[in-house]
Amino acid sequence: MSLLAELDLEARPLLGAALATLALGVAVALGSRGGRWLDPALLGYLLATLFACFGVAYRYVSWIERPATRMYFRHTLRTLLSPRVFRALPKMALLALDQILLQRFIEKRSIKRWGAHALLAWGCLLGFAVTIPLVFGWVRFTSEGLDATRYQAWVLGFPAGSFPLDSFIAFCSFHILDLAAAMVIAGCVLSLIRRKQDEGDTATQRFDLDLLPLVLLIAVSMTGLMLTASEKWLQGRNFATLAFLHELTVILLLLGLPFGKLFHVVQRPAQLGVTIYKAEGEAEGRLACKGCGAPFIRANQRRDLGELWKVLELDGARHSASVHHLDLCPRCKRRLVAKAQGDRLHGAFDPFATIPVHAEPIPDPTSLKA
Amino acid sequence: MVPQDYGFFIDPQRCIGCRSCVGACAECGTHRGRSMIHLDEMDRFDSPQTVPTVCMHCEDPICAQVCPSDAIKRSEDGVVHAAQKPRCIGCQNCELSCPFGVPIVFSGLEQMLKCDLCYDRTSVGHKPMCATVCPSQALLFVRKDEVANMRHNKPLRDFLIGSVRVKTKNAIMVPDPDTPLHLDAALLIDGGL
Amino acid sequence: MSTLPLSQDQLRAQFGPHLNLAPPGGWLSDPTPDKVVETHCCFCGQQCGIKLKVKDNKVIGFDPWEEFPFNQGKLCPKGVKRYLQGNHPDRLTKAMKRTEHGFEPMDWNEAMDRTVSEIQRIQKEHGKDAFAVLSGVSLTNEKSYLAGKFARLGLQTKNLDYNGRLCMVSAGAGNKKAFGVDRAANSWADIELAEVIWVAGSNVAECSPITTDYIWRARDRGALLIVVDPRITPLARTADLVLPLKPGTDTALTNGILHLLNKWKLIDWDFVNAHTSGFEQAVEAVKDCTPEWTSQVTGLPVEAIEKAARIWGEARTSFLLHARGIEHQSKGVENVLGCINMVLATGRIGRPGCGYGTITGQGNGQGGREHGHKCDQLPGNRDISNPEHRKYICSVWGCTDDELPGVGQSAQEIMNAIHAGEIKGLLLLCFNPLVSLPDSQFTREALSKLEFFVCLDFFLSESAQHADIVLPSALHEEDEGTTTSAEGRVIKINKAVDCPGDARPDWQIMVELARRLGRGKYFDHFTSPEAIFNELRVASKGGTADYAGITYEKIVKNMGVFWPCPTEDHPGTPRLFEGGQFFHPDGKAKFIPTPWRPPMEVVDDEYPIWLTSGRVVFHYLSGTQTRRIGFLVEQCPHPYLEIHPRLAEKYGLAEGDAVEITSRRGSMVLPAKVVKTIRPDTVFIPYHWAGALSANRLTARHLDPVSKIPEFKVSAVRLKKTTKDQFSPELAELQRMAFEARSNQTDMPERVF
Repeated sequence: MSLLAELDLEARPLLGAALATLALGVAVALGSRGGRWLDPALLGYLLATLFACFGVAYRYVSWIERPATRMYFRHTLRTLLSPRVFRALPKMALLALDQILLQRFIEKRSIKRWGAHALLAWGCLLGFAVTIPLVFGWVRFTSEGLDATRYQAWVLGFPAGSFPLDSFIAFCSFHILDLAAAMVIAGCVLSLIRRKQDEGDTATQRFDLDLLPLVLLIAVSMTGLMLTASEKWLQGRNFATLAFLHELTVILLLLGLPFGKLFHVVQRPAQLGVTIYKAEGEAEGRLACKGCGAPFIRANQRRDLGELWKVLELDGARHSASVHHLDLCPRCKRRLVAKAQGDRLHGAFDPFATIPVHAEPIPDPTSLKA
Repeated sequence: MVPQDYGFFIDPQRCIGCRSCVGACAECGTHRGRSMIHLDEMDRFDSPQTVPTVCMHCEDPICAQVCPSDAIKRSEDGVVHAAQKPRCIGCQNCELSCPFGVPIVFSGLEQMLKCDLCYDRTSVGHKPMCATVCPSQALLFVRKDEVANMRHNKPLRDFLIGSVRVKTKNAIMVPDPDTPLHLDAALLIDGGL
Repeated sequence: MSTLPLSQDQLRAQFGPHLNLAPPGGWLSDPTPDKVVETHCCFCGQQCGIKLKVKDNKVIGFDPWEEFPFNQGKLCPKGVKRYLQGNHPDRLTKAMKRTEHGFEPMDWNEAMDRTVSEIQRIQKEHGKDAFAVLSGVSLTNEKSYLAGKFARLGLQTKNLDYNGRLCMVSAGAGNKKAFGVDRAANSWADIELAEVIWVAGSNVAECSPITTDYIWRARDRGALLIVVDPRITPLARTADLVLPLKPGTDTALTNGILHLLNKWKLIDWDFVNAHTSGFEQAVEAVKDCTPEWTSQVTGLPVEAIEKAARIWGEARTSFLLHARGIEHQSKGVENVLGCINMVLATGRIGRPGCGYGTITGQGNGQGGREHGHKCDQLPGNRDISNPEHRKYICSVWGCTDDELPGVGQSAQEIMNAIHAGEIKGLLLLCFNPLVSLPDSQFTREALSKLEFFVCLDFFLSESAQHADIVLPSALHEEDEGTTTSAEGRVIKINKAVDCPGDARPDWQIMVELARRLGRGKYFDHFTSPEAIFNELRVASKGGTADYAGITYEKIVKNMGVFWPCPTEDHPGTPRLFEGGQFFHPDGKAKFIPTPWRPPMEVVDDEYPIWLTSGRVVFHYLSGTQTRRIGFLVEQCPHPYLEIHPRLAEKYGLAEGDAVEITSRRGSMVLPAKVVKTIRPDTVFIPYHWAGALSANRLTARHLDPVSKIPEFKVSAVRLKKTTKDQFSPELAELQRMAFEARSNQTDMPERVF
């Protein structure tokens, strides 16, 4: 650890990325029995995946090295390494179900967004779940000996059952990627429609960040589907060209993974850590605003933000020895701006200082009531 | 792109507390039912003064610095956007750190939303919704060179909290814009700190 | 007969008010409109331009209309959320009759037959005038004109009046006396050119929010602002001089100012001599109104009065604005005349930056009162008792003088006559007297005495709940027509969507009723609002409010036309009285003395505290529309009692405590809102609610002798601290609704701050 700490900021992500890639390489080597089970046709995919692994790990490490991120990362690590983990784990499991699997928070943002995102996300994950073991040589299918009507499945180089070519299970194995592709295409198209209808998204989206990933995913899925179509109905016409195009789009997608929008897939679990952090802070209690006295900030967050502001060289934001800007609730910060502005203009006044509480009846020189 | 010759000029003294801005914010195509502007009473017991707050769009936004998921971005035109939806994890660091009390974390959504200058409107040459409807024009969005003729006070974009200097894109109207506006909590507390 | 058919709770469950929270289809539905309609806001006399977004015959939202010159896109919260009154669950879409089981839908023809036969029966048994019409000035000019003609020629009753009687009739009467014409003297463009702005009895920020910016524009050029109001309103907070006088002492102040202007020789003698009459009498009447006397009556410090007179007297340009604060009094007309005397004495009218005007409150308060649904007026601001005027209108309408009834009773007097059993039948449109007339217990008794009561409305208002037949009418956005704004600008209301179900525009209902009453010959040619407008143009020709040269096309092209506009090539008249030319036969303005007299009710040992009432920015008039819009109710769900901490302390009241307020008319329990921004001898209640929450349970039926406006702004009450279990169920219900509106939005932030 001490060696790590001495490394400068760029070196640490490099080291992390190298270690992650090395680990993956070892896993591939072991899983494919020293490369014996690697499919030579998938080598391009393998290289791209290793690159993506390097890139994602690099970015992940530099991300958690950011002072703000480290604040939460450290907290989560500490929780996981302490006895508290036994209380936190069941909760984290429930949260993972709600936030990662069901993605309920997206449903609350908008049901259309949720539908599109669910199709897209599960389509992608399903696709990768099938292809990655194949690319790594962890799973392979061969004809069972000379029997051309049966398929033999191999997992990590061990035989793992066989099935007839015309069986349901075979149909599923061959077409699971088509299903994934269909889901991804549907999700992408729904996303594009939703984006077009949303004036906010239309105004803020950027082609490279928001649209390119969708276009690439559609391209990957379309070329994949066309491979099936070529094989099934066109007697393999253009198969080679299509395979090349498919490989090209997938490699582009993998190469883009560390840089683009899809990186959020590895970021998102941080939400679990934050939720635990909030719950712990809630248990510890909220501190009162030093402007209005209303409790507002969780004690742990106040401490950690204080440290963070020091790192960010914002610690000078103090109103006096005892009041830090972080000690004011957002409402008081807002009022303070107007107060400071008003002070530059004029002071307060009280026109009622001299008015008695009860009015005496009005003097009545020319009364009509008489 | 929001045209660079336009500016947002805020004069809380003119605010009449009508909450048109709050209602209209929710009507803009970016916000859709979720209002991101704040309208606070200064202290209704003492005075009818109310305070409208939109994002000041800092040059080096503290909200972005404290964001663990790197979700808050400032575009080239100086607009600090709401947290990117795929990244925001709802931690509230931004909400608690913003020097002006602007971002709002919508808890069910695990998402921070904030004033983005109605990007769908300003990026195509309209005014933000709040500044368009504001009856007293406490929220004013006009060409920068028009302000001198329209207003007695002058735009200030420079704030001081303790020793921390915050520079912003949006302006507060004061008579003497050359001195930074010192945000001193003693002003809020009777008898000072 | 007309007691409530069901309990309040049952009626509320069926007809609301419920809250409309989101546009049709929800916030996340596709916001792309089929069309965008340029029209105006339906709330208040400023008539701000607004664009309504329409999709599938529903209004789905709005866009600011920045090109419209008056408001340039600005809108108050009512305007922002106005579109939510459409597509509303409470909307009436079928004719209904009251039965023992409540209101039941009925066939349109049957409803018409029943209405006509009841009108005929009552008029046969009790005389034509035993059937009355009460109308409202949220209606377009076309509908207002038609209401007048329908009552007089269709129903042949003289008893027609309108809810403008509760709005700016005091200003109208005062203006006619002094200037010979009833309109704000200037367009608002002159406000920003003024050096001094005097605002009397107007909570500009809340009741006419867009005017705020005009005033600030003047202040940015160095203008001083003087505000006269017993409360520190949001605009008064920043004013250069605030005169928080005792309620009901406005003429004492204006007399005191005139006294000082004369004493300090701050009179524009050239103007006074050339363009006015009666100055000597006016000055004579204020000779004893020294600052000391004024201070004693108004409760203002002598220095403040002197400072105000100095600022007003020495200004080169100025604009005086007033509103209901001084007009809603038994001395409403005198208060207005007192202000006008201040303006005339300084000669600052009819020039750029020199202006005067009332800020008309109701949507079409200005146009509605000009065209004849006021009991004493005929179209074009003509006088129904003037033989010349009658003759001209008879010639336009093609009737004989015998057929045209004379002066009828005013709104409150009609309600008094209903209570007394003199008027037996009522047609009510665009008016919710149970909320807006004073002494609401009395109004409820009166409504329950009617033999037959037919009501045209789009929601079942509290008054409509007493009706025998309810006919569903059109919302503002469901019909076209014109209105005239507070500035005197005639503008075009455009239709955005069709009426739902059997609902139809009020003008069609009136024309059909007239036809069925056998009076079709006067109404058959009204096939569109434009046809009515074209007859209105002829009828107003030669009157002071001359619309003869205004066409729909011209209004749209010029974004409004200021009357008088006598010919089609006339550009309209944004500024009146240029060159000191007034509308009296001698061309001069009149000073009219306003000797001081107290309000009809003054505080005493039994009722020691002044009560004044008014609006909040989130609601419009009786709240029939705004109490159904989620956002607005969320901001201000129910009334409260505004009270100064020193007075609150005397009664042991803290913020939110229950306080019982009692006047000679009745009592109510409200939460206290303890604020330093009201006179310590005065309390304030906003008036937009009904039943147990109606501020008008406390107000009196004292009327101004000339304008017949009730004295809403001055009553005497006593206070008693009580417990929160004394709050009415209505208050709890409203609190619940507002809470639900907030928490319905499940994704709302955890607002601990």
